[in-house]
Amino acid sequence: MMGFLSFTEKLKKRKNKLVHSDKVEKNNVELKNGIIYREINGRREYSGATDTAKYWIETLDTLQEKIHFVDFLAEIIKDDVRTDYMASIIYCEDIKNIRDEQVPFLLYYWDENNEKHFIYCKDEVKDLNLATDCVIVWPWTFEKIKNSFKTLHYHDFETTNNRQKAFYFKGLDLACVSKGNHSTLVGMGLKKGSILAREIYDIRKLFPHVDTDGVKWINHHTQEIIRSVPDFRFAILYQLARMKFELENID
Amino acid sequence: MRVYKKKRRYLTEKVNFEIILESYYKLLEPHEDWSNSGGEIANLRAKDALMIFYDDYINRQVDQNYIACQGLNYHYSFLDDLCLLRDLLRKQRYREVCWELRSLMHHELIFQKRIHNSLKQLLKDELMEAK
Repeated sequence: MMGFLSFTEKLKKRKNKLVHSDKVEKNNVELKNGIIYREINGRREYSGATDTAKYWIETLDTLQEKIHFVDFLAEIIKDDVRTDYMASIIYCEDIKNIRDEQVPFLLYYWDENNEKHFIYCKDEVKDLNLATDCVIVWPWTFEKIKNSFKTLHYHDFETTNNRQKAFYFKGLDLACVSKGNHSTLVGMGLKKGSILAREIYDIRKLFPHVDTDGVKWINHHTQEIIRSVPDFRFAILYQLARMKFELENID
Repeated sequence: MRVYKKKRRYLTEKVNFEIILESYYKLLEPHEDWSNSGGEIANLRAKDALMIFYDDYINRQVDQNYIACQGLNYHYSFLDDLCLLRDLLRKQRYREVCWELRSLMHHELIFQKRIHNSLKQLLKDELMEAK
């Protein structure tokens, strides 16, 4: 364990050195002692991923195949985001460096008449299976994971006590947890249990009104920047969902 | 792995709420348990810790500046936590209360007036006057 920690510390120092070094230009790939490091540029990653998706979609023949392919890509990215956020607490020793919870997508938009609309769906709930559904968690202390594990390893996951609070994004099939992060994480790790998302947002309402470049959410009508994207992968997922929506609605 | 620096919103010129929160974390952390296991003695120790917390918290100065909730929270999202705390306090599951209280401190700004008044009143009614 100690060896592992010291390795991560070394890795972090090396990364910091590379970031602040004048020799390394932005977005350059540095190969040093077998470690590839590249500073993440959201705009570049986003355009790379979406261009690739568009290229491969064009090569496919049937509409059904294209839709399945977009789904396939979205699933891969969702898996990456889910596991990355889950594991972040394991690699992060200092509580001050943990990731803050973020709103992954916009919850409102402005239409062509400049009127603000929310994408909240009233009177809907969604049951999320922690073994199969894509749920994003923001753990912030390892102690709580340990304690939840002690309980959930031997007992069933209880949902009746409403101790988890989740948001579900319709159209993307993705959920975020704002409260009960650690118990949800353990449930996901043990692949058991389910939680109830009591707030549902329909992301499909954003498609005609909101664009993204991987770094910012942009108003489609006025080209004004609305807000920054917390993680470029959310922008890619948004764009893939938009592609799927367009494919499904071709006359 | 990319690491985001946590934005701390409690720092003001007069009171460093960050340090107070750290002391609360240290006070409650040894007692918290998600399933309230450990027996009656551990439960009563957790109750003592909650009383110490209450005595300190009621005398603290609230944040004079209004700070809106960030992330997935909204102005009244702390009500969920308060309802849960009320339930747990009535069931006398004090280790779980410590657990939820620490989560509340992490997610919400407990020195904002809107939360301070409600939490103070809840602890007074369900913890101090129920002994």
